[in-house]
Amino acid sequence: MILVLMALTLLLTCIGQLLQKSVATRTDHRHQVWWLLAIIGCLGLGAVFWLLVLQRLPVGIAYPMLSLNFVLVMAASRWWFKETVSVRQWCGVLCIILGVSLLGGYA
Amino acid sequence: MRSWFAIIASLLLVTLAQLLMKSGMSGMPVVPLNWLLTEGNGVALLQSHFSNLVHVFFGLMCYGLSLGCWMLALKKIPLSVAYPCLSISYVLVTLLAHFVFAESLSLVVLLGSVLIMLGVSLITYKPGHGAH
Repeated sequence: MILVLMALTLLLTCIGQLLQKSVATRTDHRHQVWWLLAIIGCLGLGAVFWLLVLQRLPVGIAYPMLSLNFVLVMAASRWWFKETVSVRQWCGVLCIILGVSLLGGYA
Repeated sequence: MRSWFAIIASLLLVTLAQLLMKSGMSGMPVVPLNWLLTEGNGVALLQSHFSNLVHVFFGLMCYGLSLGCWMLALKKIPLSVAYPCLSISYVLVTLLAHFVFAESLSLVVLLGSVLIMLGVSLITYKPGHGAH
């Protein structure tokens, strides 16, 4: 259950951020309101799931795990927006995954 | 100089926001969704745990304020410096949760938080984009 709530929080925050990036780079400005509503919806729903995570996990363990969001956004910008990822950034991904695994052992 | 105050304020506010949301939510009972949606139950739960909701509300307010300070700071400080600064909040929340809520803190947990701070900094920092 906790894993599902955490995954939903991460997924919705990530989608919200990617939508922001898409809106900011779009040249076509039609339906702008719907895009903004979708972004607010994703981030708002993400916040609700985050509160449900906090209800069940110590915040000192759960909050640092939100950093997986950086990994998700980076992976998406690599494959979706075709941005390049440096060796240093891959090392960062490794550190985050290692850190989250250490914390996960205590969750 | 003002931008650095804004970054520090953003860091402290986002930390406070997590602690407030935690203090509110940890007092809320975990109930099944179908019970919550049964007529009257949801409203009754919110009424009986009003002070918890106040904590969550102020937590969300702090989060909003933190976002405002963040925007202010970004006028002068590049993202590649601002994000590593903000990543201090991971370690800060882990430490404060131990002292405020008596959450267990081991060396392994602290190491996990520090690795995460380092990881986010490695991902977001770009040399040559530093503040001048």
